[in-house]
Amino acid sequence: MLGLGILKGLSVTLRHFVETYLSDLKRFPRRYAPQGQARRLRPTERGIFTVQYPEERLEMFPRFRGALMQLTNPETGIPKCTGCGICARFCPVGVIEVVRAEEKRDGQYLPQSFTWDLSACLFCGLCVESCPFGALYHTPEYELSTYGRQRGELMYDLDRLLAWGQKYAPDGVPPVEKEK
Amino acid sequence: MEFLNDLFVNLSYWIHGFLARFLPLWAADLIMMLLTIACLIGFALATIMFINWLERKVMGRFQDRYGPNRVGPLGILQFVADAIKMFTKEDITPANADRVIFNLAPVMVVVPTFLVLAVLPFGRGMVAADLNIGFLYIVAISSLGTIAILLAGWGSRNKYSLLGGMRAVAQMISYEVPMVLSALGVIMLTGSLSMVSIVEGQSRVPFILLQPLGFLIYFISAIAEVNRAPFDLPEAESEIIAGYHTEYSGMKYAMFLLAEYINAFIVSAIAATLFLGGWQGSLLPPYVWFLLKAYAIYFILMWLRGTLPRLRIDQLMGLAWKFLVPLALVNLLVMGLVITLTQGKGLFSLVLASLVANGLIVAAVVIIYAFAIWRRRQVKVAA
Repeated sequence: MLGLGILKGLSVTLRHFVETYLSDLKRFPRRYAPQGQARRLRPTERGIFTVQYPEERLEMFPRFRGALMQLTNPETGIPKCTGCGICARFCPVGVIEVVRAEEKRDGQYLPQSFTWDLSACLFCGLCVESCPFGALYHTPEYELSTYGRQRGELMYDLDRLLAWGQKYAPDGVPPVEKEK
Repeated sequence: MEFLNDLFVNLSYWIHGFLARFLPLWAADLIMMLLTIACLIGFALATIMFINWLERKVMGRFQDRYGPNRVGPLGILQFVADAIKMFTKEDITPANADRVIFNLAPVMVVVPTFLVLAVLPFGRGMVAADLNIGFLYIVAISSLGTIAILLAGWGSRNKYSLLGGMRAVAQMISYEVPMVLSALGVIMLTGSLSMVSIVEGQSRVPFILLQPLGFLIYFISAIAEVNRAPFDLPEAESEIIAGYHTEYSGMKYAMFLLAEYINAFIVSAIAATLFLGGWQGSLLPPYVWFLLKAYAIYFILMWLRGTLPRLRIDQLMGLAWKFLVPLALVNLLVMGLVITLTQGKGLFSLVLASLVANGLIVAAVVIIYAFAIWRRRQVKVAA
């Protein structure tokens, strides 16, 4: 009957109401998750679902398509990228620009310059898929906003991408490949 | 303790005596009236601020969220941010709107809500005007808000607004009938329409024990009367955008919001006064009891809002005319019978007889419904 259904619904919402306070009690003196590292609630878990963003951040999953990074070969210490420019050709909006250097090093071509224009990138991942040398990958980085695009803050050059590569794949293997 | 109990009453006597020392009596009386009005409006505004915050917090918790928690400790200053936003927003009047009516409606919707506050007994002796037709006054004044909502819907020259206004009128007129009929039981018990005597009549037992069914009918119709979920059809955002206040922005929109929140609180306060014994209670001062009871009922309002989905318009009308009105009429008749039969037989027999009568009514409703379901099955089998 309708009345029983209403009572049942009321009991469900009241349980949620109470359980949010219980989950608050569990981490009582603190208000945010330790080290700001929030965890998404599993379906079986109860309590408050909110991730309080600037204080807490969710860990991104390995296949997350964040900013690009250039990997370095850990054995030779030079970039894996050969400056072939296939990523630039595959890019549907043309935000990647590659210039190959004249001379080889350790028998491998190298990029003279590699720029990625974040302002128009649509994070489709075609560049990553098309890279024949496994040099280009996504980082879990997603806080990419800046205060001005005139100052070239959205133009990422090789050094910045390589630095991210060092940070997220120091052993030359990105998180996606580890997952496989 | 005694000092706290009559704090506000004594304060008003003291101020009046102080003024009467160097002013003629009529001037002192006038100033006291204006002060009372200022107090009521101040109370209403403070209530809105608190309720706005409380509702968002509690609704958040019902939905596994925090609610506002950024502005000030626990988000308590959120209303300041909201008020600044409302004040600085552009005030738009649609080009084809009926300008006079469009601008009149937000004012008209707020005024009756403040008027109703005048007869609410906040504590012992704490009533601005003890009208001997108190409840009738409340019913009459609160229906004025309906006109304002229809004006808003009509004046906006917008299909959604007009639909919302029409829905509001249909709903409010329908639900006023069971609301008044269910409150009549209380008035029969006290024999007075005055809110103060209704509270004083509950010194031994709150009327919810005598009329649980009446309370239920009153509560359901009161929710519908103030357009709150699950009866918020006049502003159903999934169907008609924002209903009658679609075209309003800035301060005028804030007026509708204000009226809505204060109406919801007033309805809870009236329910607390009629059925829960108003300011009656031990240990705590009377005004604290009154606020506690009103907020307890307001919590149930929020709880229902967080639980129930919106009704369809035909379900809404069906609930009022096919279910609540007949039930309220039966309840009224049976309660009249019970009161007449137990006259002079003491309180205990009255409570017992009322509870038995209420149980009988509920049993009758269940039996009728069961019979109807059984009949429907029989017909299906035959077909």
